[in-house]
Amino acid sequence: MTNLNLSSPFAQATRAAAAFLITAVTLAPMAFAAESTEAKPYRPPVQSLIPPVEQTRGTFVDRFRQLDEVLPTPNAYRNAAGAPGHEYWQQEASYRIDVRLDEDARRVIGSETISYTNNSPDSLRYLWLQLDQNRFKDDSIDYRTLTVAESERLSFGELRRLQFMRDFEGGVALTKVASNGRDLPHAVVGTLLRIDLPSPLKPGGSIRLEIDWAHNLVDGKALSPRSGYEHFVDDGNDIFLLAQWYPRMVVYSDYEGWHNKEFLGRGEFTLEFGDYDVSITVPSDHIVSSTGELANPNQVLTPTQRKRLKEAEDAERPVYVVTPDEALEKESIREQDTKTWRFKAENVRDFAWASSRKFIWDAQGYRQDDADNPFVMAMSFFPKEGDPLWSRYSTQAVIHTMEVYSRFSFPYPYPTAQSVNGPAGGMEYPMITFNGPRTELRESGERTYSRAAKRFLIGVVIHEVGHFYFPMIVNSDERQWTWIDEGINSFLQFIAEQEWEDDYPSRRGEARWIVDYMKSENQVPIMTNSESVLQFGNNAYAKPATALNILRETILGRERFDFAFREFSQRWMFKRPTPADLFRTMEEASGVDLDWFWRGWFYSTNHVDISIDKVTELKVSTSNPDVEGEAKREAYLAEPISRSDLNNAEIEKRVERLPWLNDFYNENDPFTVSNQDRNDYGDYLESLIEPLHSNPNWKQEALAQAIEDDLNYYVIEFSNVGGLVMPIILRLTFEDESTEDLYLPAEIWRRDPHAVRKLIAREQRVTAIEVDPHWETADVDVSNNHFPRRMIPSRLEIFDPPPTPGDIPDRDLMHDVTVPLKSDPATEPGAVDPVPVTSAGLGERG
Amino acid sequence: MSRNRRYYGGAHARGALGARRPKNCLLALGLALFLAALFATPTSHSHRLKSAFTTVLFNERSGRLEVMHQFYLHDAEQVATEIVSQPDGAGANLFERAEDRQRFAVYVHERFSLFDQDGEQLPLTLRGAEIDGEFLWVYQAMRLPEPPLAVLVMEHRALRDLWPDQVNTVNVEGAGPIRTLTFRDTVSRLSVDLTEQ
Repeated sequence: MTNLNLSSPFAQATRAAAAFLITAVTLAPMAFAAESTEAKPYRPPVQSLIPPVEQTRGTFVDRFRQLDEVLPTPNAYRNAAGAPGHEYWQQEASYRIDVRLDEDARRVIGSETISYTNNSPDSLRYLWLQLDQNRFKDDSIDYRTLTVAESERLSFGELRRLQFMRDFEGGVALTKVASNGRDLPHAVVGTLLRIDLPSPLKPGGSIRLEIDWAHNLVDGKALSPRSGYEHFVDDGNDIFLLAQWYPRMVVYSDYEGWHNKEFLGRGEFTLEFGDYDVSITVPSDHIVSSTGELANPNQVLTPTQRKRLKEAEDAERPVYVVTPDEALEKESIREQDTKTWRFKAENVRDFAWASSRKFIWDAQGYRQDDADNPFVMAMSFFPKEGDPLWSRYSTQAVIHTMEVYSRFSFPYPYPTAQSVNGPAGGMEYPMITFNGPRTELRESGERTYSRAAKRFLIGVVIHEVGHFYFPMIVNSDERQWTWIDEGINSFLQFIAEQEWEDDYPSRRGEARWIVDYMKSENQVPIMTNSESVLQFGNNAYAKPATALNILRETILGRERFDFAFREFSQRWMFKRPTPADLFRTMEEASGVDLDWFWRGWFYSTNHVDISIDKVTELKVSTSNPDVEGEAKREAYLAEPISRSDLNNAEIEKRVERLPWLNDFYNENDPFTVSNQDRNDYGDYLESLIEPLHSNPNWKQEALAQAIEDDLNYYVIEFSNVGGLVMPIILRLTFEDESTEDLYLPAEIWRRDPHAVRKLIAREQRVTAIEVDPHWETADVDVSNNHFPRRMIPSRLEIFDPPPTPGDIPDRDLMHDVTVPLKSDPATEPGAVDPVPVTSAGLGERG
Repeated sequence: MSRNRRYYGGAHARGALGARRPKNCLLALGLALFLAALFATPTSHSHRLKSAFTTVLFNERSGRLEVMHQFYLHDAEQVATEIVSQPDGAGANLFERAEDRQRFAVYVHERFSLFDQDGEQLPLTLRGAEIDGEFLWVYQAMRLPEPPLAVLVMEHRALRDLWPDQVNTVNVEGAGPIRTLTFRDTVSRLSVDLTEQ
């Protein structure tokens, strides 16, 4: 079968000089430095949980293999579409709790009744509960396996922790474990409690448990737990944060049975949904912030406070319910009596609260377009040590989070959303978050905060309130798969931050921040149990967040991603999803096969490194010798004359002296077209005819069309150096400096995941090609993304260009720092900077 | 001051452990204040963990061994606040004050060291610091060692001396395949064999 004469070697070998039928130009071959363009030898991924089928012969690796064989088999509880199955079940645990805070003793004493319903198809002989405060017993696994950083020095933090634990009596004191008044046999196993049932709890059955307990609160500054107290030496008061403070049911699920793992402090937990009715007794001048809605405001709030709350409902800015002056006044008085605050919450998976007389309290109502829950009260509770930052930003950040996150998932379903300032840096529970940032007290008495501190507060509030959605409502298992809620939340947090203000730290090319991690050694895939993960932060937060962002911006596009993600959120609202459910839902709802994406990003440690290795420029030859011959002659004449020819120009040649030596060949250059050539052309055209084809002249027509179009053809060779297949995004630059962006889906790698060649045709000539111009694929090495090759300088080369030899020796800033400042940079940011250590006084680099 | 202690029912009094107020009388007021300042915001478990990233690059093109540290701006500012004592009680302000950035850079410079195979410390100089997005970058450099190193030994204590759970990751690039070192927990010195390919 004859082919279009693009690059076939010139068959009529008698024409020695030039190839008639090709004009093949390999653009700037010498621009390729040897080491960067040769495709690096393929190295199989070092760690992959599920090596895609590799061959013992040849190098084919199936990167597009479907994931079904790896994911758990769909069943009646979680179906193949990634939705809850027709027999989906989960347990239910509701609590009625009476608790008292003993402020002086820093202790809570509680009494609870748990109504537990067994919706599973299994009979349960025993029940497991969590006693997380047992982590602070000095014989706990957590405490005994604690290590310190160095052998010859102790940080103050470590010292203080040691001192605290020596004096502290930690752990839960259980004084009653019963059901319907009858004591039950039970056993404490570390941070877990097992209750043995007199008769098995059958499917569909319920049981009431009665438990009385007490425990001491931990110093929240000494130990950085998720709860405890913080003592303020100046005014002698404490802030109390109560989390993981009551014995609660361990999850019993369809995919793991009892989730009874010891609580070591890192991997968090998942819990059952239920209703809560909690009565909290505290000193009467305390303000209590809690999960749920206040059921008895008339008993615990003053008329003024109730009035202010009403005002806040439709206010445009937060309204103080307890003003800073009022809170300050309360700091110096300690009431002797108590009050009991009663809160009720429906369909929550946990319950936390905070109490202090130091709290300033503000509130603002948030209305949303949802018939089930049209109104939410956003509130913040904070001591004066958080102002003016908190008054300004906290409640607004809470509302902002709900506005943004609800667009991506579902309208916020609870009556309140709260942000509380206490000793915990950032922690979330249904309807209430604990956030840490404080401001600085200047000598003038004024309190101030830095730009970074402001951004941190906004970011932390967004992140923690974001957790209300994931995992408090979309109840994924944080212990097993931390990345589901942290990755999703980080990804939505970025979006919310971008919508807060214009120059919020730029996430442009955010994918690039993950490349250092992805090209490092010793990674483990994201789908690794959280308690044993090495690079925990990156694997749980940054990499999955980046992957989701890439999925949204680059692979699926916003519309398809947002639709699918909303579907996932709504399907699993108030239910318990697993990673397989997320993967399946995203595929089914978007209509795009994503198995290669999940495999690459979540199950392997491959990275992205796509290299553009070679570009060949071709033009279709007319094959008509009259045309091509002329073109060839012109090209030949356009070539530079050799040095020798130039030097020989003046020498009289033999045939000039003896003209009778001239013959036909002297008068007709090699580019002369002969009739034989013309006949050969005619034969060639005839050979293109396919008599048996429905349109015998189709090849001739194609050739004629191509000649008329007169396009430039490019064959671009790419190699996949990093192993992780990704779409190839190209930017073509043309002769007239215009550009065109081209998106080649990742499926381009399906037949050969190591190297591909792509053919494109354009009217204009292409002068440059760039892979991933917006840095959106997390390509770890952009030095092989350019054609012609470009040197990509390191960060330090840009910041501090290396001196050329002969320059003054490198400046040593260690010394320069000791040079006294000539003026106060604080008054003129960036204006006078005796030691230029930054390229920009304020803000970010371009 | 005395308080009326009331108990719910009898169950709590019976068998309940007496609560002892945890002692902080070990610390004099001044020391307590100092320590309180030292631990401005404890590690939050739900939020991003304390981590920093460093690239050590053998850069043939510039002729230098380049060290580029990447810290979360907020973490750096917390540290800067702890190590810098401002006269008027303010914390560090890395955005607005070059001096605070410099001091943080010096802090890092003093805690990051490179050594050759014989244990000789390599002469890194501090090149400066800058903010980019939510990160603070600190730069160090020196001329590429001649003759080329066979083994690179490293210490990286920045932030780890204040926060026991800080993790510092280092990528060594430009000398064969990328090698990664992780400084955490009790690790003090790590080394990379630069001759292996």
